Amino acid sequence: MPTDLEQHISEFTLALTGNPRDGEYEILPKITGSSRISPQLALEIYRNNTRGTRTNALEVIYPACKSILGSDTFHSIAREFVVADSIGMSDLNLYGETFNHHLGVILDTGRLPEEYAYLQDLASLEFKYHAAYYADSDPVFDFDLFEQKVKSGQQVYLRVSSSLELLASQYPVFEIWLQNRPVLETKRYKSQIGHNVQAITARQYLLVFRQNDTPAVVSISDQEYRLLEAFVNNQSLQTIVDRIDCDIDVLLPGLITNKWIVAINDNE
Amino acid sequence: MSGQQAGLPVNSVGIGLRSVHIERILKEQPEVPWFEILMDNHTAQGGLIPRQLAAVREHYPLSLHCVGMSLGGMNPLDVAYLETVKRMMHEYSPVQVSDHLCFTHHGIHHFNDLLPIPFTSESLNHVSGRIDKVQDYLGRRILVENVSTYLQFQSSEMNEAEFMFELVNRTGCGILLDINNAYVNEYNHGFSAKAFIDTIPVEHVGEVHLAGFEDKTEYLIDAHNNRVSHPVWKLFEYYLQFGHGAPVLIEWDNDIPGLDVLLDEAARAEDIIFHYSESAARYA
Repeated sequence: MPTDLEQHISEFTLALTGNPRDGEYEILPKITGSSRISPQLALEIYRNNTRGTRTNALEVIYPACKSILGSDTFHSIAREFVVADSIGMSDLNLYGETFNHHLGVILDTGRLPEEYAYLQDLASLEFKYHAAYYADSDPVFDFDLFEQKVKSGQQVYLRVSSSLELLASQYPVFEIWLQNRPVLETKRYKSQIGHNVQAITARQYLLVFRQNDTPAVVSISDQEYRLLEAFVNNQSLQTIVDRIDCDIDVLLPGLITNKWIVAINDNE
Repeated sequence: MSGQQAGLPVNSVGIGLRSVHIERILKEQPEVPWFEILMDNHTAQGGLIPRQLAAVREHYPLSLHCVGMSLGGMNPLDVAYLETVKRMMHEYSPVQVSDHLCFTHHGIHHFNDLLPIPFTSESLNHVSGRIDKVQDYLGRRILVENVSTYLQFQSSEMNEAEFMFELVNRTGCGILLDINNAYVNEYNHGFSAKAFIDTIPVEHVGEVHLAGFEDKTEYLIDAHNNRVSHPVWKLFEYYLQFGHGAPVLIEWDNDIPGLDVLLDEAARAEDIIFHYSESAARYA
């Protein structure tokens, strides 16, 4: 038997997250309205507060998508995402990771023209870039331990940076991203800004990570991508050597020097 | 316990630390007596955020303001969240820790908003018990803030001020008096903000918040996106007449302006405080 307080909180929660057909909520008769705010308006204010806060969070995380779609269209799509999400999350710094899927559904149903097909990957890139800022610190790579493990023939599992994320796309999302992010963020890519965005014939492989406290996007080779993807999937070094066709002796030192690989995992 | 005992100078006016201002603050080190950090925005354990906070802490006292304890909520207390508060207490030695009289999540739902509870004896027992647990877990007293509301519950047996009075008596917590919230509630519900201040135990106010609201004509929203309004300044003056000083914060969370605007608001608060302490001294 729920207590009176529990009942109030549950019914209030349902009124903010549920969607009964008749628009009647059990909490309504338990609310005292004022001359300024009726009980129905009060619930609407609370709904708007929650949705507005989450929509603002999406605007912060996806500025390039917003720039391309225009403020009104972005706001309407973001609002739709927020309304469909009754759960939310406490840390809004990392809210809306699945916004790219929402864009995918909108594209699949023809509500955005096909020419925006790249938006799904662009949104994915924007989230990864944003999340990199909040990632945990990494340890310093222990070369002695690495050498010791390799020499003794032990299985070696390498850990990628906490901030590292990979993205493969058939669209030139890096260039689109550069052209639509705030200038302050992209000035370090100056030489690449301003070029016309061209369609690409091969997939584009991107890596996002935090470099000297600042998120960065780097274009990488398909071999580097496959190698890092294998490490992300926790495959051992030996398995990777056996299964992936790449020159690991040449590539691995670069991945460690760039601090994309940061530690040896103890998986035994 | 007064603000002074807690470690912040009574009547000093701090401002909310916002990421857009941190670089300038570290470079210029403006004369601000203390900063308040919104804990939930600064929980990252890597990268720039912890280093910047540590650098700010080197020069300024900090107050840690939380929104996620859900002191009025029915979910079990979030131990992971409290552990983060504890970690940040350890890392930044904040002189105050505070949260709100509300619930912020229920079941699987997170609202990112401060939702009101009915003020009943059952709620009082429930919230008191949770504050006791939080204070035991953190090993310190916390401040509990009054919130802006857009509804009242018919089942309430007391008003918010009476509820807070009892909370202080039962748990030994302090009060974070948000004068803007008191005014927003007066406008929205028609009950007196002065009566609210008259009823709470002002000697237990450990921090005061001043902020701006958004005027929707029919009602006010506690938006923290504006300068402090004239009626809120007047209410602040009313509070100062009680003579129980506390550290004061200029709070601005949305549409954040340049640092100079916040410093300007802080200077205005200092002027008002100075005027009242002069008057008090004159008539003492």
